[in-house]
Amino acid sequence: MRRRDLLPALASAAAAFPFAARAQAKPKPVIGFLGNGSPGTSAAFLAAFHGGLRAAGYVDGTNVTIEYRWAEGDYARLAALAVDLVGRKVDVIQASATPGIAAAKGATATIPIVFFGGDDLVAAGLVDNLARPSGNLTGIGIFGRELNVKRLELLSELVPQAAVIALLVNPNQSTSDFTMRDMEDAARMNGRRLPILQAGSASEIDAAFASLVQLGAGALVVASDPFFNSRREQIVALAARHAIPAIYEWREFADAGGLISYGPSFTRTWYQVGVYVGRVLAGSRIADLPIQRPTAFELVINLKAAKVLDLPVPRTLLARADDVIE
Amino acid sequence: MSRPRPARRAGRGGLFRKYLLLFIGLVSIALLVNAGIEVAFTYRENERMLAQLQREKADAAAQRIAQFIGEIERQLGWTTQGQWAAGSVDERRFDYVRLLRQVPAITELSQLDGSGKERLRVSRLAMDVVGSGADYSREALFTEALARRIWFSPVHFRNESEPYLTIAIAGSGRGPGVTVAEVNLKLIWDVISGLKIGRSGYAYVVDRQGRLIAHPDISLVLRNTSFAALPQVAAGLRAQSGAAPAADAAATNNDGARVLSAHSALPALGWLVFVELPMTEALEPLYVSALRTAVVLLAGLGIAALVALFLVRRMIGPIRALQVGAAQIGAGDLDSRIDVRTGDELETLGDQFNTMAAQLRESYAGLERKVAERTQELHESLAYQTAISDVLKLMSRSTTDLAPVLQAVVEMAMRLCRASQASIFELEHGVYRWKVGHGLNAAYRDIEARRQIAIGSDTLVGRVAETGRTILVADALADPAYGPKDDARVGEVRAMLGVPLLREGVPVGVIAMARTVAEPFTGREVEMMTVFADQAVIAIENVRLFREIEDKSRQLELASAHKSQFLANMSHELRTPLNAILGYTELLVDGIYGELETRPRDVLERVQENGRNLLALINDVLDLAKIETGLVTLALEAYSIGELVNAVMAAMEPLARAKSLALVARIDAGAPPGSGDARRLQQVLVNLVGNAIKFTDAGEVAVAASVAGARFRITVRDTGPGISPVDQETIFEEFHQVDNSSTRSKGGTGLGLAISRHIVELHGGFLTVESVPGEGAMFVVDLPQIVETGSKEAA
Repeated sequence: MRRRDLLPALASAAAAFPFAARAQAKPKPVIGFLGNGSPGTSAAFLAAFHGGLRAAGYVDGTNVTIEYRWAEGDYARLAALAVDLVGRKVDVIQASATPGIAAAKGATATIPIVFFGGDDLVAAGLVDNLARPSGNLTGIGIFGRELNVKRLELLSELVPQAAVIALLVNPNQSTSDFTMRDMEDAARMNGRRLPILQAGSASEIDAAFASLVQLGAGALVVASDPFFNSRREQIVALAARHAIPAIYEWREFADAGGLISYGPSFTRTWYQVGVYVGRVLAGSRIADLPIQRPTAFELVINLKAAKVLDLPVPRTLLARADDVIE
Repeated sequence: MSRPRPARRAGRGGLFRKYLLLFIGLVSIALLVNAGIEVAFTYRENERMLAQLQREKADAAAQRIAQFIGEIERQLGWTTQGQWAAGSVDERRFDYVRLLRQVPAITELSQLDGSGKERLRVSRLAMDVVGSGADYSREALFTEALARRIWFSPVHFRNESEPYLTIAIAGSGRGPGVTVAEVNLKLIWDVISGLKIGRSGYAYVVDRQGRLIAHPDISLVLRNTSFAALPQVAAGLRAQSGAAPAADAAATNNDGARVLSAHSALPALGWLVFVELPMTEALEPLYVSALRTAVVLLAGLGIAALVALFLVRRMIGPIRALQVGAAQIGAGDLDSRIDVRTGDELETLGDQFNTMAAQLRESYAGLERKVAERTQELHESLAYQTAISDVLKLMSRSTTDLAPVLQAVVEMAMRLCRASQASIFELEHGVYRWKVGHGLNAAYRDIEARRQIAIGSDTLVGRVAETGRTILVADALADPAYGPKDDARVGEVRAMLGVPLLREGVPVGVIAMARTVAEPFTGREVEMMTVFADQAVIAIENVRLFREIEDKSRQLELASAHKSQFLANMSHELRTPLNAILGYTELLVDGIYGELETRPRDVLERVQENGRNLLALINDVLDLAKIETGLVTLALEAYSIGELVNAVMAAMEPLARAKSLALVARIDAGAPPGSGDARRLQQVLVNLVGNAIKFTDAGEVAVAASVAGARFRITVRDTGPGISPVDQETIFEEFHQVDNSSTRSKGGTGLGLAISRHIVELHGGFLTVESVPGEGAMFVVDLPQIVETGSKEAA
């Protein structure tokens, strides 16, 4: 380094101090957290979210405040909650899945929105460009819809004898129509029948499982949906009770006793969402934060559950499994 | 030897400060230069080392990425064997799934047969497809792979954000198939972010277009960012295409921060791996080093200052001591000694100061002794001068009496020579007699007073008279030639000194001195007395001469008085018979004793006329005599100058008319009355006007009277022949006339002007003449207006 470079370097180092002091003097930024589910079942991903925030330099309660709004699985409430957050003039809104994202986007076109799990946003007209989002929306996708098809394939391999594989979808999910169409095409290619069970509430889930026997379904694909995720325990318990092999989106289902799961890492994705929210708070523009998608997908097989179901697990699946619960 | 002034003392601290600053300055310069060189070298070394390190890191990073790709390639390798391709679909699929499991970066795998048809596709995201038969035979991935065994596609972005690389590997054997793998390059991120580049350094990868493939900030990659514009990337790309060698150096990164950049190429892929370290961090060791150098420098300076303080104190201390000592010596304290014990030149200097002071002290003592001697001499000289002066003073005061002068001479001589007695002997008719003495006891005085000393060697005075020189007798009692030893015992005379009083080389007296002890007189005393004797002779001689002059003048006065008395008596005695002659002659001429014949009558008339002239002469002589003997006193009265002049004019008018001369008078109208002897003044004017008429043959005689202050000025001007300058002084003397034929024919006694001048001077005035020969003469009488009674006595 030449000497004339030394001086500016020193000057900038000295100048950095007052700015840092001023940044701290600013009022604490507020994150508006628009939760689709309820706080009780969200502890795992909230921890990951906080971890991401912390990595970006923000600690809840210390230099950032998080305003939580929970829809308790009732997507109809999301719009009102989003408007409430916008009214509170939060600095950034975190929203999840297409219903939540749509609600937030509907409430504001200026406050940055960082989403989790939004798929087909381009198709839904919410985002124009994944690489350089031009609006106020960015986040981490989860290939929710695409992977439903892959789950159907995997489930077919695990339960080759099942000619009828049921699909559980949430009709409140705006992309449910696309999902159903994709799945029907895939089932046809696989030579299976695919009865569709729709459930938007806990009782409807109970009702859906109750109808499985009647439908003669030998297996079940639980579609990607935040509501289902929030009803994890209930769904896994119902699957066990009805002794039906089912495939889920997140490994958390397999951990809870579900047979098999395939999808990106739930916690890692939430962690990335936390990082993105932190970067927005730190001043990054939305256009500089491309919408990301996971690169790693976990195949988790719960052999205990398979044993209970008396289901032999094929060699190809075991070879493919990232984790096996025994 | 002046005391050091306070002003000079103000500069006392100068040396201390100067040396201190000099010392600190020298050390500072040395330290600064040292530090500067060290920093410069450290900087250069550091820079070189950093560049080296960065390049190594870039190489390492490139190697890691090559490994990453190489690993994928190796993993794919065994799926391309011809034997494998012939296996069952399930086998192949199983292997592909395992491959996906082992290589997370691969998203999708396809198997193409020898004709380019797709036989199997396994994906992480989509459903696996068996025997789709899709035709890839014309695609580069098939043709290039067959041609080169392995083919890497350009980086392409799925969904415009995810960077993907397609790797196609051709199998071996006849009609080999091709395995195609879609590699998600986001996973290089793990490699890239796993690289430890300093604390805040980072690595990134660009493809041959400069587009970002991998970067710790993955969002940059997902945004499909191009770094082609960055100078270091552009340079790297140029270097790769062989245009110019790449230079690793300072650059600016995408955020505009200064970084130290280095890169390494991956030739198989055409990628460049860059390693960049922020300048601030890269230079941190340098800052630390500079800081350390600065601290060492400061500490060095501090120690240097302390050492300098100590050394300069040590050095200045003795110099101060020297200064103080020198100042004391300079102030005159020559006993003070400088105590400097440094064992060096300063101590030598101090010793030299001490030596100097000692020498100064010695020379002072010598000087003082000399001054004392000189003072003593001066004192003696002064005493001698005073003695001379006293004698001379005495002489001037008592010009007539020699005794006190001689008395003073002996007293002085005695005092000057520290003698116990002194006497003066004078030569009278061949023998020397004692005149005066001082310090003699009564018995000896009687002896001396009676003694008549003849010239001869048995006495001191005799010896002096004989030789005409100063004589010294060491001890009268021990001198075999000295006669009157008994008298000497009476007078307690032992050592003697005789000095001759010489007038024109001839002894006229002797000064004799004696001491009661046999302590001989010194040469200096002798010398002094010789000179003193000369002075004494002059004094004695002066008194003698003065007495003679006084005698003569008294005799002259007496003679003059006798003459005047004689003249007065004579005139009186002459006048009485002359009056009788004139009386009888008049009686005869008047015919009282009968009418006379014309001839006798003429004779008688001549007798009468000459008789009258004689009487006038006698009167004048008498007058003059009276004036000279002081018998005339002025009869003072008030008079009018106008009346006085007019009276004279009236009396003289017939004489003027007889010679046809004009007689004019001009008198100041406002002349105040004067006071004086009017008759005598009239006599003066008559004399002056008479002379003027007498010596003027044609023209006029003018009289003017004017007042000038408190004086009258009367002028008598004629148009006669004038008086030559030589004669102008003598005409006022008695019996004097201008001696020429014309004056002789005019007659007169020649006493008129002398009498006139006497009269005017009696009035306190002046009578003067102004004349140019041939142009007439003018006599001026200048008189005080008022003459005080008795203001003038006859001189």
